[in-house]
Amino acid sequence: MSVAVYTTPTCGFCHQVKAYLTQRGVSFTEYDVSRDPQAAAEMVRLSGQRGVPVVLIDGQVVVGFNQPLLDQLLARQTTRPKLGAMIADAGRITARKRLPLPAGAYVGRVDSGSAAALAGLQPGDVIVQLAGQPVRTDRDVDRIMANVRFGQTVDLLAWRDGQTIRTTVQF
Amino acid sequence: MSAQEARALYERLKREGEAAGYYLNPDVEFVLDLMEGLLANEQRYGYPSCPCRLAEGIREKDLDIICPCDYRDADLAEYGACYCALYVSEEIARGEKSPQPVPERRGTEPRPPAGEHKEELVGFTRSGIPVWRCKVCGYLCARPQPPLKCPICKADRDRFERFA
Repeated sequence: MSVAVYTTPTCGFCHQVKAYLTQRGVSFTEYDVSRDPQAAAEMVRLSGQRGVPVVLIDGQVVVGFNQPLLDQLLARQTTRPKLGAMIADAGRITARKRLPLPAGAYVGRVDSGSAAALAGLQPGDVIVQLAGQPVRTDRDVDRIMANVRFGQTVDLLAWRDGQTIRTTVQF
Repeated sequence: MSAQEARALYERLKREGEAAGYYLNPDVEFVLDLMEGLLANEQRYGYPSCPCRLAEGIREKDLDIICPCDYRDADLAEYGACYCALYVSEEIARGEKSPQPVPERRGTEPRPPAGEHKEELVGFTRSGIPVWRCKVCGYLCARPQPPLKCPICKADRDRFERFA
């Protein structure tokens, strides 16, 4: 999902819309149209007006801090079940931090209340198997997650401090 | 530009607004943020253009978005708040309602092209003195030139139009 926010530093709703997107965990690119004439021209062309903020979500234009419309457009993007953990390639972590990790998806952070958190996953764990399929890098998790549906429960094998732990993740 | 200046502007707009039946957003922090925006625009462009709209930087082109903008009253009537939600309805000011998103009105209604009215439509008193109307608050006066500042809402002279 690509999200761009056209703002001026003087506008209260610009601050609110950025705070709202950040709170929802949406990453975005910000353009200060009062300083960036090219971005300003683009904003006027896309939205047909000069009011700010303008939020661009995958080509859809939202003028002002229109929270119901933002929610609607953002919801389209997040209707897939999410693990709720930041993961990285364990192989790269091994190389960088010289940790003796197995191949898999290294868990850097677990979002509170997420499926990963409820399954007991912790930062530092390495996911080695998900839904019965081997996980060798973080990309394997993304690939497996693409086929997971809401309401599904999947097995997860993780390495933690030399031990293998088994849990289930409920989506 | 300091927090004190923003606070002073807030106090002035609140006092002047309330004397004329206009209410500022009850969220003081939000309003102080807008005050800083107005002060920044005033410093930058020489006039306090709307903090929520991209100004051209040319006064003649931005006259309609100098705060209070030409769209404030229509947006207050329709949505209970101006585009920035600086000015709000009495219900919102009292905290009985919360502000809703306000779509941008500017440019949606065709503006009458300058010089559309013929000279004979423009109002004069019987003694031949032209009548001027403040586009911000509607104040009318008959005098050879519009006042430097509207005595009611303090808008500048160029926010006046000839009254037909």
